[in-house]
Amino acid sequence: MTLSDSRQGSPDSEHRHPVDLLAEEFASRMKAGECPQIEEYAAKYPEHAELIRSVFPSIAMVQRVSNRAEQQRNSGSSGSNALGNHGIPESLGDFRLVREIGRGGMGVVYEAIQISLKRRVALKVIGAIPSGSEKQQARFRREAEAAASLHHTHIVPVYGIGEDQGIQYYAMQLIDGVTLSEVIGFLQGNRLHPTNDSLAAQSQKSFSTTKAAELLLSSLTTPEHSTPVEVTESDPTERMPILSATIGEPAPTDEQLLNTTSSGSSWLPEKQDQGMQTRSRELVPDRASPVVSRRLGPAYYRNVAQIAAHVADGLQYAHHQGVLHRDIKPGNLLLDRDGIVWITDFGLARQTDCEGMTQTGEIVGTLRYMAPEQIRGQADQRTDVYSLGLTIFELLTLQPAIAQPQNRLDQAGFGQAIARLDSLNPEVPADLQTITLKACTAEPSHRYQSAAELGEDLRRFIEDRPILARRTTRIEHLYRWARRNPIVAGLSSATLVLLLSVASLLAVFNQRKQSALNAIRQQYDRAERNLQEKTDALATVEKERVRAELNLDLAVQAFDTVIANIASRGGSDSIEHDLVDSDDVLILADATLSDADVVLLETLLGFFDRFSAENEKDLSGKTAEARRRVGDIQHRLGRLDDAEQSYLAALEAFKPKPDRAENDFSLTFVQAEILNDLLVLAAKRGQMPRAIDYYNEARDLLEESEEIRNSTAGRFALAKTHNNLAAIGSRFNRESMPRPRGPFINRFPKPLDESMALMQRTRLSREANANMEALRLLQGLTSESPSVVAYQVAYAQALRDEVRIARMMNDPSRARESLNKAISIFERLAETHRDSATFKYELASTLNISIATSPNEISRFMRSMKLCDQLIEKHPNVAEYRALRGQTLDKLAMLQFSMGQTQRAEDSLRKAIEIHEKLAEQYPDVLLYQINLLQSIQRIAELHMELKRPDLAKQDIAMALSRFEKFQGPNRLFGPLQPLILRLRERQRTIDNTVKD
Amino acid sequence: MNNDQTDELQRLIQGGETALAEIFSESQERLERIVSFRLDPRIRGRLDPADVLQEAYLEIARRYPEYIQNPCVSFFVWLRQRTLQTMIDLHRAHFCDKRDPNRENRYMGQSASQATSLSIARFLLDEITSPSQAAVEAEESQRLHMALESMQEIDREVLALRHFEHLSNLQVAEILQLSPTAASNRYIRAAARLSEIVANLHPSLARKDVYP
Repeated sequence: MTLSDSRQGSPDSEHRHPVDLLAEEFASRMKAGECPQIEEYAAKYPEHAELIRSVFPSIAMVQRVSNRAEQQRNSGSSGSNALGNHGIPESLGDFRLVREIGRGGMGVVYEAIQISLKRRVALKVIGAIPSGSEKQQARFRREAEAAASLHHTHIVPVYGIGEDQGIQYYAMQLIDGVTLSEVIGFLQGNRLHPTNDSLAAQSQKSFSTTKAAELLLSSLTTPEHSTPVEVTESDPTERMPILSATIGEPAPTDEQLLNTTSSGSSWLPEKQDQGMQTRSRELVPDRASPVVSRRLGPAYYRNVAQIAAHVADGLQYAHHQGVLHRDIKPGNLLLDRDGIVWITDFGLARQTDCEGMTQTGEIVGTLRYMAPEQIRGQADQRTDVYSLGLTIFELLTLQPAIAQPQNRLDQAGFGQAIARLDSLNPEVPADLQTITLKACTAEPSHRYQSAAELGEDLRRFIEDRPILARRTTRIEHLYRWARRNPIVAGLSSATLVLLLSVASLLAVFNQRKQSALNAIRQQYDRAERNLQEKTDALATVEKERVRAELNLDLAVQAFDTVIANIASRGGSDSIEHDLVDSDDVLILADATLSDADVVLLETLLGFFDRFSAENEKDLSGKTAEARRRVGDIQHRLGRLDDAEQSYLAALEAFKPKPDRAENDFSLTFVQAEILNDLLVLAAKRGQMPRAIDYYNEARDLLEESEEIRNSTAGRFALAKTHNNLAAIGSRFNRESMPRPRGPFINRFPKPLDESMALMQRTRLSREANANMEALRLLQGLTSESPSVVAYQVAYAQALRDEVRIARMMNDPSRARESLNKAISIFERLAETHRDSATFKYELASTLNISIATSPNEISRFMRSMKLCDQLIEKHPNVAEYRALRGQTLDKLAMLQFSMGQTQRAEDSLRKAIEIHEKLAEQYPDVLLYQINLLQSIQRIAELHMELKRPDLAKQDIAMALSRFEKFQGPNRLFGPLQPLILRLRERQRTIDNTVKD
Repeated sequence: MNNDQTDELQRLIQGGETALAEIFSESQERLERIVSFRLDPRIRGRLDPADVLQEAYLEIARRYPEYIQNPCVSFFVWLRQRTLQTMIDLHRAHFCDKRDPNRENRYMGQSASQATSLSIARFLLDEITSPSQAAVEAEESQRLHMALESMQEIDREVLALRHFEHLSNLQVAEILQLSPTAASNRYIRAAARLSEIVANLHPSLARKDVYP
């Protein structure tokens, strides 16, 4: 049938929604036995695709049911069908059925009369499923066998098993009682369930829910049977008098039996109690409302404990017989008129020595009361303990312990936290709370290990003896909860607060990158709104997961912004190492951080650290990312040991899973990056062999696969790795740099001389080779893809390193050549990105690299100064540009001095000092600016000494020292500044000596 | 009123009770489906949809002259109304059993609209709970029922009539006194909502293709 057909077929087609017509066609095709596909329609009618996708599934579903019903109708009523919709068979074997009194998960329960013995019984048959499959029948037989083998005061006796008309059934004692779920429903104040006491009183034989509730609330506690745990093979009739009155009396006549059939529910119809009685509860799911605890009271709690103890006795007995109940819940516990509790419906029980039957892992039992391990398909006696624990919980609070059992299946660990007992009903005696919570601990080994243990503690409670269970402390509870729900725990308020404080810090402290920070803040706002919108749709856990991931993403963004912010100040890498003592290089690792940066990084560190600890299992990818950021921050903060540990953890976390897609190399690159971080770290700490190990490891990783080796990304990563090794000597290694001593003039770099150790030369040549490799790869990449800025920048960076290497190798021409190349790259970049201050800044800081003391360097330095001036003019508030100008003036001064222009040198130094002073005052918390100032002052003092003006030299030094005596900066700077100040003092003494000499 | 309906009226006027029996038996299957959809499961043991129809026919045979006098709705819609009324009377008679006051109260406390969502929930549960999930059924029923209760009453009725009673759009429009366009639009809206409800309850089902 086509669309037009159906249009013609219906007189009102023109009035109907087009999708309605399509749906009709779709349904009629299904009815005709075709298999139309939803996507087929969605593709054919793209304008309605969305609606089709949302409407058709329900059409299909309904049609499926209709088809099935049709088939059943056509095939006529089969034997088992007789039990379903088409009435009750008159009789089954020896039993005459009277009425249906309940439906359970696996069967229908009827009230029946055993004709031969003239007794009323409960008859359970498989009826819920039209034609019981073999599996169901096997289960049925098994359950009957299991149940029939049990004889215990608190277990409903099973009389026998039978089969008639293809229907299997078993007969058990009819208990005149109500289920505990009915009692709970009543105690909740179910208005739809009014009990007419006068009517209930009329019927001697009926036992109403009201009566049961009264019994539970009354101080007349239920009789304690001192039942031995094992009562095997006893004749059930011996216990008859204790049981239902009906059983104890002489067998009634049929007429009598039939006349009493409609008394209060004598079986606990599972379905029914879920149905009508609980309906009003369903409609008003007011979980938050305080419990009606005032109506409960001490007697009630004792009675609950008593009942639970009896159930525990019954369970212990069954367990000892090798039978698990596997479906303990209020609906399967009957309370009779004498206050005796009966465990019924061993419908899911199995002989524990008959494993094969339920190994399919099929989930049976009622989800709400299942133990976590049971959901995973495992069960032992502690599983029943758990379910009994939840049942006690519900009796105590009148609320199910697990509010949303449907979520349990979706959760990784099934370890859904149960509700807070003490908040649902604070009046529950503490010991009873402790017992209950211990019984329903998610981890089986933390529970009572047997029903007997639980029963023992319940009796201790009843008898006011100290209980054996240790009260779980709130912290321990939280800890366990967090273990079970790492994602949710990851969202604990502390983490959120941390993250929010990052956001506000970003906004308050950092003025310089305001726009970027605003963007982050806006992102927070947007994220918050998105989250709000999604909240309704998502289950809690899912929501928390999304939020956790979202938070991480935001934190990463914040981190990147902070780092970019710091890097733009010209990090320690851009400092001319030939201008400072090699000792200082180490310090300079974090010299550019301001207080706000430190606070920010610390806060972010806290967040990443917490995040990774809490989400290890569920968000492993994200956790690895967070671990890495922790490492980055520790690195930045100069906590190099910690950073190494964090990087190693991240490296482990990023190990590709064995099941990754064949061509998925994303993790390989991340790993290589982390190895590079480790390389740099090791280099900074002077651990050369380790640095080389990391270098080799990264190299192996990147060269291992041909695909990576040939990819641009792979070559780029490899180039950076080579370059990082090459930079060790020039950027980080103190040994390879001769420590310059003595007067000012000697502070210019010394060429590598013959006396340098062989080892150092080996190292230098290795570094030179690595850099050559880096340069080769980068040259290839830049000529292949000239538009990729990252390649250009990396190439220029490697060229700058080459300048340093060539200088140390005493190869000025190669140094000059590399420098010119680097300059021309940055010139091109600055030219093509005219608005970018970054490239101008990089160009300026490349131009001021000195190779040899030669006049032609002056023109480069002057160009550098000019660029700085342009930058400062355009961005007068950016400290980095002023700092660079100051540094360039310092260098210019030394060059001028070496060329004999002492006056100009002095002028340049004065200008430099002026700049550094202002920066040092403005940013007392930035180490770099303090160092710049100290060094410039030291230089001018040296200049004065060269010019034989020791007084002026002393004056300058004294000024610098007094300045740092009054230094108001943060404590963290004192350590790094100390050596510089000591050196100044020492210099002051030598000058004094010189003067004396 | 379209031609078919006028025809039916003519047949009734001319053919009397013989025509009525014919028309009724033509509609019997549809009516039985409607009754079995609406019949309270708790009295199924005692009362079959066929019983209800039999009872309804007696009533209809007695009262059809009233319809001829005042044919304000189509005959099928009238048949449906009478049949369901009979069913409700039977329900009431059953639950009014003096020996079981609770049951009566429970039944009477239930609104017609609630009954509809219960009927839908029952029907769907046949589909969405496989035997292995039978244990979850009670939970399922509560959740499904709640979800259905969250729908607009009229949407829910449209859904019940179209989806579960298999009535045509025109019949739905007639019963609910909507324009055909409105009835169709509401149906599509309600069907989408139902998909959503089922998908929420059973994510796997939502992804499942049309055929299992």
